[in-house]
Amino acid sequence: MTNRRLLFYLRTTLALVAASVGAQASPATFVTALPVARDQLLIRFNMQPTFSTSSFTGVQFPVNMGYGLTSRWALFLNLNQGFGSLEQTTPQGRFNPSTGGFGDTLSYARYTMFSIDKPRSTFRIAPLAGAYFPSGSNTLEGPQGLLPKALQTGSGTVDPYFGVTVGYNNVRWGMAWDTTYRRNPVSAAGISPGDQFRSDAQFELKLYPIHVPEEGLPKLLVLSVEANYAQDSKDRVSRILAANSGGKVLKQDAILEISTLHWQVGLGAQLPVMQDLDGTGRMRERSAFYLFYEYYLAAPNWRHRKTQ
Amino acid sequence: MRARLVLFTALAGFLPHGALGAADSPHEPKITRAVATLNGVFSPRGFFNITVRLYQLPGVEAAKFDLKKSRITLDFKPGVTVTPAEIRGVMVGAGYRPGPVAIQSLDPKDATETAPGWVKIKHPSSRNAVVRWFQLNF
Repeated sequence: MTNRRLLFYLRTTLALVAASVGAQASPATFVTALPVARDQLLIRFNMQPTFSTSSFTGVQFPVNMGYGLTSRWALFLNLNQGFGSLEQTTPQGRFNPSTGGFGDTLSYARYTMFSIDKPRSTFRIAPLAGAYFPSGSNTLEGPQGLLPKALQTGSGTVDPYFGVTVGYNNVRWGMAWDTTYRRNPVSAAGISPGDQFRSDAQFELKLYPIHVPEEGLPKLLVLSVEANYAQDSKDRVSRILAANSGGKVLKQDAILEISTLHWQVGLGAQLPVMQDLDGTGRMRERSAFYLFYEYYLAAPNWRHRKTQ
Repeated sequence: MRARLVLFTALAGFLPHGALGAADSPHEPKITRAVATLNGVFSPRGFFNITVRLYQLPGVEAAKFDLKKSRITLDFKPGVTVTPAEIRGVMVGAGYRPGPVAIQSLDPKDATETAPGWVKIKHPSSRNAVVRWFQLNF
């Protein structure tokens, strides 16, 4: 995809979001925009298999937790774990290195800075800030030395993370968008993945019931179409910028979700639209899948005293 | 005369409840129903946030949500009253901005908390905060 087409794509997506008048959507591929009300606990269990070139297969099992501290402040904790394996061809022959375990843990706070709640729509803008904590490892080694980046489970440092989310929802459809930046400082070992700029957009449409009944709360079948853009800076190996790293990736997703009063479940697929990767022989994603189950809980009620 | 009195008493015992005007008695406690417009609630998740706070309203028995109208209807135990300000307080506490709240008084037979679409509201009663949390959520 040329830069011009990419620009057009991004502009169109952003224009669609900006054109929406009013935010309570539920994206599957990014959790920054998840709506969390005061005293609500939200837990989302995910399974995300990824298939790439070099026979790479990875399955991640992130667990996302959100807690509404006040009507404006929400706290998030993302625990990452999973495993991956690939095929490496070296002068000594073929190897199938694999790794597994905990990845870096992301924690951030989100503040709803601006909101418009109307009887027929709702709109929110919320900046967020936090950090990735190095619960994973960036120095995993195999028989051939340091394993490739795809098999490392962490960055090795505390990485500042900040961004902004915007969302709109009405009774039939909704939209969400986020832009985030992850700063990856160089670790003591002199290794670091490059900084990452991300921008995600989502459009969701309630498919069923086709006509929302005048009364009652039906179970909802929702189609969520999402796009994920990521721009990676160069990695550092031995404190030197790695030529075979960095680049731009754009992915497109389609997810079906069922939503009820107490839980939500989603199943979808992801295909890369553009992979403009610097260097040669880079691993490219072929496809990924998303499965999540989300459950809502009331926060421990010592915060709001019993009145009877 | 005594025989007539015995006969009347016996007949009265077989008559269905209310046949002697008991249902229309002004002393029969009424059901309070509150209907509130919610602004910005368009998902089951949004309604969940309010459901789990409703136990804070004494006497609320059942709730019904109308997704299309972003509206909630609450039925209270017979004889329990509520004010719009109390209803708004719970909604605001959940982080929403409620619209108008209408309070109605109904005969107990008009209460529809058992009809489809109605949710029974849990009232955790344990003194232990952890047990209360389990009672509220599961």
